[in-house]
Amino acid sequence: MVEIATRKQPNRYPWENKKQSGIYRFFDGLEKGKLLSTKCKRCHHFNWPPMIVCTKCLSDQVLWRELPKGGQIIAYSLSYIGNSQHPELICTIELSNGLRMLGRIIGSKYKDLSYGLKVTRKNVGLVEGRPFWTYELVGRSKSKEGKTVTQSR
Amino acid sequence: MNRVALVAGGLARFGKREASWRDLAAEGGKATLEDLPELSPEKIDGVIVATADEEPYLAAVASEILGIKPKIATRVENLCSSGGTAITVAYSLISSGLINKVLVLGVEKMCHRQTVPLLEWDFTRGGVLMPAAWGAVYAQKHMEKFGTTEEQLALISVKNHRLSSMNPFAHFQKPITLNEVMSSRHVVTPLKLYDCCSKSDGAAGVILAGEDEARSLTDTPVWIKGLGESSQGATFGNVNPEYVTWPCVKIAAKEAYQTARVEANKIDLAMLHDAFTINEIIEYEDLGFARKGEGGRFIEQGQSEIGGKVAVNTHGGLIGVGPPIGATGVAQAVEILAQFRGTAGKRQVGRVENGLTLNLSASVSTGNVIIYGRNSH
Ligand SMILES: [Zn+2]
Repeated sequence: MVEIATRKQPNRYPWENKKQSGIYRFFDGLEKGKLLSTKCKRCHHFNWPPMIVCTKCLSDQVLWRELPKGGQIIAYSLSYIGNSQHPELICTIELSNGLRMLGRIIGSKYKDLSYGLKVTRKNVGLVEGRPFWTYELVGRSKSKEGKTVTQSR
Repeated sequence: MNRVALVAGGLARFGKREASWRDLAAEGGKATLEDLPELSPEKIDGVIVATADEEPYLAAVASEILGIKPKIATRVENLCSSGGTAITVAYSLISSGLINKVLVLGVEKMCHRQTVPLLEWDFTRGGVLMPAAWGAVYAQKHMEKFGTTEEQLALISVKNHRLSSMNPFAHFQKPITLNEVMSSRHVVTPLKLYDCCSKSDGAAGVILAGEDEARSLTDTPVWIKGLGESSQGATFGNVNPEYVTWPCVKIAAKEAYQTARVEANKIDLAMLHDAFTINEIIEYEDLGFARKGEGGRFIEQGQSEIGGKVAVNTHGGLIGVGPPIGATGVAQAVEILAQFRGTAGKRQVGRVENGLTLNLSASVSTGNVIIYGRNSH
């Protein structure tokens, strides 16, 4: 079975360091509970993941903007990797502006989910220095877990 | 343009090995060089190493280990498609005339790692970094759209385990039943343990040569007739917007078929990239072996078995033989060579005319297709 998780590369220069990385704001945003990426000032293309040069027009004039919070479920699974007793709900989300990502779903059971259901982003943060976010179904009662996740980096 | 052929191939057994990267490079390199005693190592003028290992300068290290002093020693890293890309680079170096006898050596150490820092760069995965997560997405969408079943996925694993049980270099040496696959534990639903490739250490090598050298070195050269490669991006969020069809595969295949002047229905042997069972099903379709949506039926009808329309993954595929990253694509070429030579033993597919390899990376963002044939044109 594939269990390719990751470990932090000890010698990697920090992507989250302002002096060493043009996308430090992405990590800064995550720490503050916001999922940011770059929108091109010239052609308005929303780059995802964040890019300091627009992938459509090569402009280096980009604005940091929060990604839409809402989207819909494209696919969802129970992942037993690393926790065979308590599988976690993972999903593919398409945001309202068409951008796509993997993530986790909280506050719902597997049997409650279906393709196309509307979701909204809940927790955003860094876990062991890695981007992390969760979604929950729109219209669910407020999840107790709904707070910014920030752990040691 | 100088034509290029496979003239030798060799393997270091895939599996959980008590051996270092260097040990595996030595073992796989030795097997490859000894497959062609007519060519002494000092005549090799290029060494291309395919690996995702973190250590630097590994092409020079491997050359020194094998007593080769090539004009060009370099490395190709393209995650799981490193091997296919390395063969493509070797092909272009030879066809340009710059060098003409190249060892392509894929080597990987995976089993010692609890965790592998290979996917941290993909921010669009939101920390969901296990490859089975994307495999599960593509499986779900194919099931939703075309009614593909978990049994059809399982049949891929049954076939590939049966074939790997006949391959002494494979990680998995035992056939498994449909029931064993279906009742294996869930990994990421709907994928179960035996729907997924494992992790393996291993090495695979091939020697490629230009036309004159190939003809003088061996009576059974296997010619590269066409190649195609396509990189559609890197991150999960930016590739395969339709999920059930993969642009990098379709583009690479189209180019390979065109350059080879061979059509899909003329391929009688194919090594595909079955990181997950669903991959092989989608690949039947995107390579043109089956119509879109009918990949599940294709395996059900036995069309990809030895004796079917096209024999797929006769070495056991990634699921049976193991997926040591840089060695994966090179091992595909080693099997192609064995099948053309007629030395594949119990896995032998009659007489092969046209063989194809498909090697992929990272949530199917890069695809490499190579078509091999018995004749140089
Ligand atoms: Zn732009």
